[in-house]
Amino acid sequence: MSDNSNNYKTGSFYRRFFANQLDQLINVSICLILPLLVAISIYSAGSANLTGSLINSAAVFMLVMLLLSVGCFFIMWIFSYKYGGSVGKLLFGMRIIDAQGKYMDRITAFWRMTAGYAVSAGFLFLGFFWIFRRKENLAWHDRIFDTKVIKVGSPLWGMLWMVLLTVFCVLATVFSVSLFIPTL
Amino acid sequence: MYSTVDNIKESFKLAWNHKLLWIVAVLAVGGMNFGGSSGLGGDKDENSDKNKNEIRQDVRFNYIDDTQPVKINEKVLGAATNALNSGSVGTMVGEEIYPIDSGGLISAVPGIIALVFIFSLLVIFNAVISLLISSWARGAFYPNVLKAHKQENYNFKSLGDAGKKYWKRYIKFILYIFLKRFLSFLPFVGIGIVSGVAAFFVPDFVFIPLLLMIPVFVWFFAYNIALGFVEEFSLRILVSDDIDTKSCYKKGWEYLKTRPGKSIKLALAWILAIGLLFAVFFGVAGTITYLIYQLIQKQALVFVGLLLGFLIFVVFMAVFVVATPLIVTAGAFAWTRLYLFTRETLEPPADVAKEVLDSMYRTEATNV
Repeated sequence: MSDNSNNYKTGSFYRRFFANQLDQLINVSICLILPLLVAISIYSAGSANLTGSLINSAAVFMLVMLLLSVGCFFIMWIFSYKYGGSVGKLLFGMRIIDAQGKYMDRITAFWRMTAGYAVSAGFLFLGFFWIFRRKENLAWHDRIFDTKVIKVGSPLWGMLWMVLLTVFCVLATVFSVSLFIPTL
Repeated sequence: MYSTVDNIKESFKLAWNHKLLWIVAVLAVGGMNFGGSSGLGGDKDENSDKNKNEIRQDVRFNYIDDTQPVKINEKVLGAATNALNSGSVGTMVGEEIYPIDSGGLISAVPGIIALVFIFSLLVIFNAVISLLISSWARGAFYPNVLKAHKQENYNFKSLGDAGKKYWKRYIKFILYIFLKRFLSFLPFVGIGIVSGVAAFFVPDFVFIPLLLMIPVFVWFFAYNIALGFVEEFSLRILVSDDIDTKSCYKKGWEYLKTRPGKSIKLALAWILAIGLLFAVFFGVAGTITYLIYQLIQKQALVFVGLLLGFLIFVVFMAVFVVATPLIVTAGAFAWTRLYLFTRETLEPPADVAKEVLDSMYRTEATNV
């Protein structure tokens, strides 16, 4: 980001909320739906005994889910300090900048994502609702780490991806259930 | 002059006036489950809630002849269809229900081991991140408690800066104290081994090592309580003095040995104060719940009773959410005040020391 970051308006509570929801949808799609599909296909194609097949598919589900969950955490961290925000924020046309108008360094990004979110969520998510309190739209984790979230583009891509991922999750869940139930 | 009761009263006042510290207080003392805040995709084992009453039928007991070349999918679907037709899940041949085949479980052992291993990795990952968050929160909390006590200015940004500056010291200290507590268990392990050996070779005298458990338990109890006091002092020394973890721990013991009575008094008074608060809180909550229950039992104003109950539940939850950080912050202030009082005893301020020295070594002229 450049020195003219002061010319950009800060992201409102609702835009940031939907960006967060998009991140959750992406996490669920990658970390839950995909492993579930893999596990169910293993279970359905599975071996002669149901017990072994069930446990093995559960193990595959857990392994893929764990690796992808940890992977999602690191991707979110890398995106935050390299590109200025999580995937959801980027798609909703927002960037996270520090007091100098640049993207956060990796240490600040890590603490903001872990300790910062923990602090904001600690009091029944009051730290997130604090965004309503001033014109600057700063949550507790923004105030603690001296960052702000600015609007740099349109939220249309974010809205589109939210709809697509929601449809994908619903279809994948229905498909998984329809695959799983006949094998009971 | 220092007084434990005045210390506690003053600490609650300070905690009420410094609400900004509440936001990190609970994290600093209680830690945080990382999974809730990170947005990681569902880390629950979806299969752990399976109905244990469902009995899985091994396909070998299916009526389909296994010697015939049958596709696996058809076999599974056929078995499932048969189960549906029979009207009960798990029934495969007529109305007989067969137990789970042990061969099936044995073949699933690698899967079970993999599940346990994967779950352990997930727990470890969460524990590491939670430890880092807790260390950062302590780094943010204690320096700013000291600032607040000295009536120095602090804000959100100073919380963040302090957390980033001190988290390494606090993580080393947390691990050091954990090691000390872990090592205090070793005498029990030793006695257990000796008892085991004695039971094997000399069963009549096995009670002797077991009798040793009593003094060891007393020592363990006293040592861990003292360690708690040392921890409280050391958490502040880490901020005030620029020394390593081991030296800080030793200094903590020094502080405790200087004021052991006041430390015990503060701990007991604190337990009493919190106990009274909780007694009042739960006493009121319990009384109101009982009254509402009576109203509902007598079918008098059921709807009003339920609505009132819900509203009171919400109020009490809100009070609980506010009370917890208030109590934690007040506790931190109470120990900070004792720490500063002890520090003045051990290391009096330079101007006080000078005054004392001056009065001890007066020149001849002033003695007239």
